[in-house]
Amino acid sequence: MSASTIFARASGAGRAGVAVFRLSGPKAGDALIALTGSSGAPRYARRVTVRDGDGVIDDGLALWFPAPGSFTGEDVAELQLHGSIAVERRLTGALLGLGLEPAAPGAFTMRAFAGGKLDLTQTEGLRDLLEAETILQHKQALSQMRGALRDLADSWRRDLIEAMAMLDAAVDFPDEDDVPGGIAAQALPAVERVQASLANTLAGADRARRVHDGMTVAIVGPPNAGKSTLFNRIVDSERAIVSPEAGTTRDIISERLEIGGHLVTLIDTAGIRGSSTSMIEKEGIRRAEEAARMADLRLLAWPSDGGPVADWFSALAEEGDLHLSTKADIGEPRAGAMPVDAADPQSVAALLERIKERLDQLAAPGLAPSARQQILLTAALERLNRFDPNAAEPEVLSEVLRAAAHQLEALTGRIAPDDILDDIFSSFCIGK
Amino acid sequence: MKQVGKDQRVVVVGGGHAGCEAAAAAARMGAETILVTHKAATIGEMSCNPAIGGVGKGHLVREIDALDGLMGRAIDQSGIQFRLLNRSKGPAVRGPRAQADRKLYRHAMQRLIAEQVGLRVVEGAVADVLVRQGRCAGVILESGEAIESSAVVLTSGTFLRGMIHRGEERIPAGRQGEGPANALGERLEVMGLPMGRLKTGTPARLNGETIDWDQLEMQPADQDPLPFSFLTKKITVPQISCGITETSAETHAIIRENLGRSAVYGGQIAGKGPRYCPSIEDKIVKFAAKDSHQIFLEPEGLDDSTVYPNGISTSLPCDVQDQFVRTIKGLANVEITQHGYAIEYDYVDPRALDRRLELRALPGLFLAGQNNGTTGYEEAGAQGLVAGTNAAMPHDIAPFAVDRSEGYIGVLVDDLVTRGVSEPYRMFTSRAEYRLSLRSDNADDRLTPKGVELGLVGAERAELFHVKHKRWNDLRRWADATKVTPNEAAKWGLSIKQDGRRRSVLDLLSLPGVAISDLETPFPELVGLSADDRAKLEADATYSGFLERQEADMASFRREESLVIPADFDFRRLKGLSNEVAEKLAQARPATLGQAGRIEGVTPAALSLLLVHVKNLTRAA
Repeated sequence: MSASTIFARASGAGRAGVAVFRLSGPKAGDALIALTGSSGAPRYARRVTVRDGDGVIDDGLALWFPAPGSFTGEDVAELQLHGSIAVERRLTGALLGLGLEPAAPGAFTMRAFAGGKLDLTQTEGLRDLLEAETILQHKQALSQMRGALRDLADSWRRDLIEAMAMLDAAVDFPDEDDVPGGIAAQALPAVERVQASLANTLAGADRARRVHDGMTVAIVGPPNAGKSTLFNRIVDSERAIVSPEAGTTRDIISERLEIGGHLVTLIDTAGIRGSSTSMIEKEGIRRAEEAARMADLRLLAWPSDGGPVADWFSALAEEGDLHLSTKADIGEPRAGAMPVDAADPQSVAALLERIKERLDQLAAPGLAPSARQQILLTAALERLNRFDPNAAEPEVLSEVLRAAAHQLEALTGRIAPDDILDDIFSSFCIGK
Repeated sequence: MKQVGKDQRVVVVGGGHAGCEAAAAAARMGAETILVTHKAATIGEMSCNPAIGGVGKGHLVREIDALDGLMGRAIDQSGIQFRLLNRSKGPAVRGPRAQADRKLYRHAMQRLIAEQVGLRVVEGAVADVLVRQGRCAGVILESGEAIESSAVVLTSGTFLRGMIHRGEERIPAGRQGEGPANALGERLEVMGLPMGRLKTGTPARLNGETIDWDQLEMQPADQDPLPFSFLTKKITVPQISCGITETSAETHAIIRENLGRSAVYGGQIAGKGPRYCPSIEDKIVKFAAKDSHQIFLEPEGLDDSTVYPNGISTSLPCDVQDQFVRTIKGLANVEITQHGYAIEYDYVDPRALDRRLELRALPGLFLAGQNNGTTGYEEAGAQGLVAGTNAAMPHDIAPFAVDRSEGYIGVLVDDLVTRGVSEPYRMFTSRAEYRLSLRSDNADDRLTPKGVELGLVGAERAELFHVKHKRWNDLRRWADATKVTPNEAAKWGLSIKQDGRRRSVLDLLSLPGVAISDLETPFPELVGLSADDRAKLEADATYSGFLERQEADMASFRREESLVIPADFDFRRLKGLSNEVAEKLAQARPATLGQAGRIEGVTPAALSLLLVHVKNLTRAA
């Protein structure tokens, strides 16, 4: 009687050169012995013949990771066999016969989390890594999975515990000459360290989120400003990302690209005019304007021969947007705008360089890309900002820190009162 | 008056602080109760430090008293130096403490025991427990006599295979001069209970007539001593002062030279000692940078010259103790009346107990006090109260339990049964997550109604509480309803923003720098408030905002706590749970989801899984 043992094909489905099967749980070792004759030395690849009662299933490699030194923290076995549908069927039958259960999606990660192998932020990092498409997404997810945010949160927690220990020592050992006075002031440096570090992390959080979510770049302008041509040139020159994306309206053409390591959804909007009588056109303009407002970056295209820009056009511009003077070959580029000739590869390349610079300002790998993380960090900082060393009683200050620490607990794990006591006893000579 | 326990018969083994509270509580519940002790004359003995209360510990005493326990009344009749600790800090962390006249305390406790209806004392040594049909059904004395009962509360303190260490000396004993309870220790061992070994120490006792008091700084008692018990109107015992002195460089040098002869440092003791009450050897080794440590010289009684030197507990040999003590200021010619020692003893891992403090492996047998790995009279008394009350209750009715949001008693029991101990467990306010709400001033508001409903609290206290509670409610309502304009407030000398907003008396009190005494002139209602009402008003003002949030936290805590995990739930079958976590849960057998969350190593993910399953089970039922 014990927790179940699960198995799944860990590599992609269907026919392949090699398929990897992972087993996790108390029966993993017995299953490995039943199938291959022995478990072999831990963490060494071993050439095996896999058999069940009906004979040989396949030849392959076996790996044995006894608990707790495995991904899930449980006994884990891995089999690398030929990626054949028939082999997979036979092996599945054999494993079911041995009392193992097929794993539900995410079940291995869930066990790693439940077993304390990964904290919540690392689980999020692992999820992001599996979904990462661009260079920067990869970089950000990898560092998160390897515990960058967890390590930082742990250091915050240590500082908060240190500060709480100061305060609580003064509360719980009032008669001790070894507990220093002026405790609120002594707790302050640790609190300020956490405040600064939290603020710094949050300052990069929006940029980190844009690495994770990607950014929308909208080309907007009047009809016949050369927007679609420009759109096609950019799409042709950059790497398209083929995975489908939901939610784009049908009358707005969009394409997913990687530009300078960033995930970008480039959209081409309908031409906007100041006045229109057609109901359909009016609706198209409304949508184009909305798409422009929602975008992270706007390429504001006005033709070089188009005369002075219209008021609606200037109104759409936000700080940091790129102003383009399109069709640079047929007119005098307007002042303050970048001349762009969509037919000239060098001109398009120069524009892409400017877009990339701008994207680098908007997005950079950071530590807290998810909304969940940002909400908790913001809440922790808000609570810490209520720490007023001049005003309140130590037990109130400690309560403020406890509330902040609760938010960090939600981020990664838990805080135990014992930790505070441990800190008190290691810092002060207590005991009259 | 309810008599829930009227058909029960309870035997309490041990007459220390846990035993006294257990026996009295069982008797108050209506059970026929027998207290078995080695020596009736040592009932209520303070075997170590002659003091009750402190920060956290004082909270426990007031809670015991709120449930009609004995400790608060006994110290009020015997305290010779009352001091409210943390007076300058907020009301939540102020802790009443009193040094006792050791003899007066013992007598007060023995009187309370003698007066308790339904309680009788039997002198004798318990050799074994009676077991019938898998239940504990009484005790067998060394004389061969059997006493049958429906439940037994075992409060053996440090007597379970107690061993005194002093230098190279080894004396099997519970307390100096008394024999150890080895037969019982073996009995518990045979049952296969998880046991561990702890140690604690006590300093030498000094002859006060040989102390040069003139050299010492003295610490007086409070002018207006605050009683522990809600029943006590005034402290009438004469109050004395303590001396304060400190170790010197010479003291440290002698101890350092002789470390090898200390029982602790000589390696003879394996048990873990408390970090907050280290021996003087420990202090000198671990905090080598400090060249002096504070010592309080506490007289043990009004007509007793014995002095307890608080801060120098030791297991060094007698000759070294004689030597180093005399290097301390004021003690140059001191005479030691009894040398200090370390004592090592067995304890039962309290995770083997449920919330009633009943052994899961042997229903009917309850354990309370130091044998559960705690230290301190107050911690022992609180457990005695919980164990004795539950021992007196028929098993088919809901147990008596205080939870973490209701009191320090709840924090204590919950910490013990879910987390176990790694050193002798002492209460601190930092152990209580709802510290701002669990105060010594409102212990009766929190617990007395519960005790009245159960029949644990007698008529006298119930009546007094009713009156006091009504008076407080009236005051609180008045403080909210009475409002003043900024102009009026300015006239009384309060600096307030002239924003035209009317503020209540409570609002005014929550302004920084405004104390109750500042408002006594315009509001005579605030003159002559009881200490508790003052503290409560102050707390509501000082902690405004925090108390409301804590209230919400407590509500969500109680929701989790109310998610009961069935007693026969098989944690090892829970799908998705890692082996390690399943094993931890299976061993600890948490009774609620809240408890499960407090077990070391149980991850949030494991908890969510458990939540889903428990909810499914509840729905199916």
